[in-house]
Amino acid sequence: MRRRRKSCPVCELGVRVLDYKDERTLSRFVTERGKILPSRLSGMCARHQRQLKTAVKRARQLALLPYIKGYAR
Amino acid sequence: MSRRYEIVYIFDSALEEEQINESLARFHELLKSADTPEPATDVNHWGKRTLAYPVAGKEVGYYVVVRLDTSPELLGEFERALKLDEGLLRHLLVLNEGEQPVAPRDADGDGGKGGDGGKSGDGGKGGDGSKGGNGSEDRTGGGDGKDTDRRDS
Repeated sequence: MRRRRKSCPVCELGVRVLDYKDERTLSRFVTERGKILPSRLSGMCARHQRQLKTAVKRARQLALLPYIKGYAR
Repeated sequence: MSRRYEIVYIFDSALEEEQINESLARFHELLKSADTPEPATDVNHWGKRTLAYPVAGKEVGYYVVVRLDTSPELLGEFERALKLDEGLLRHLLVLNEGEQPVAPRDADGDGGKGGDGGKSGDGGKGGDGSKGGNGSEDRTGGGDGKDTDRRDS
């Protein structure tokens, strides 16, 4: 028995491109430590997963998202 | 040939707004040319935000997002000037072409992924950047065309 594939949460939002400036949306797709969530868990489609990758990395450069969350300052 | 870029500046939050505007004017002066008399098309001040991690010992930064219309040859000198500026903590310059907009976000930092402008924004404009000479650029983000544009939201 195969599990049915989850549908892509970003497509469901009606969004075509993920914005690196929108850290609220991006933060839904990182773990509590700030790692990028695998599409296996989020059900994200390949296109959006690729966009997520770049967007999260850019957001990190801009200090919108942490590289590591919960790391002592 | 001019291309469209988007740049996010993070200024030291200790600076006054005037000083920031002054710096911005000075930076954008460098991008002026015959083709692009007015390089900065859309200046969006997000204002002060807490940084996700300390940058240069600062916890708070003043964010400004600017859409630029300029030719690539001028960017070298431009970025050099940015790096020399003490009040600018960080910047990110990316190509802003190809598929456009979605999630608009407000200047004051909330509003996040407002679905409002989003749906109407995509689709329609997909063609304008045409993703032409992506390979020819060495800028960060080399023309993947993912950068959002909130002009029509």
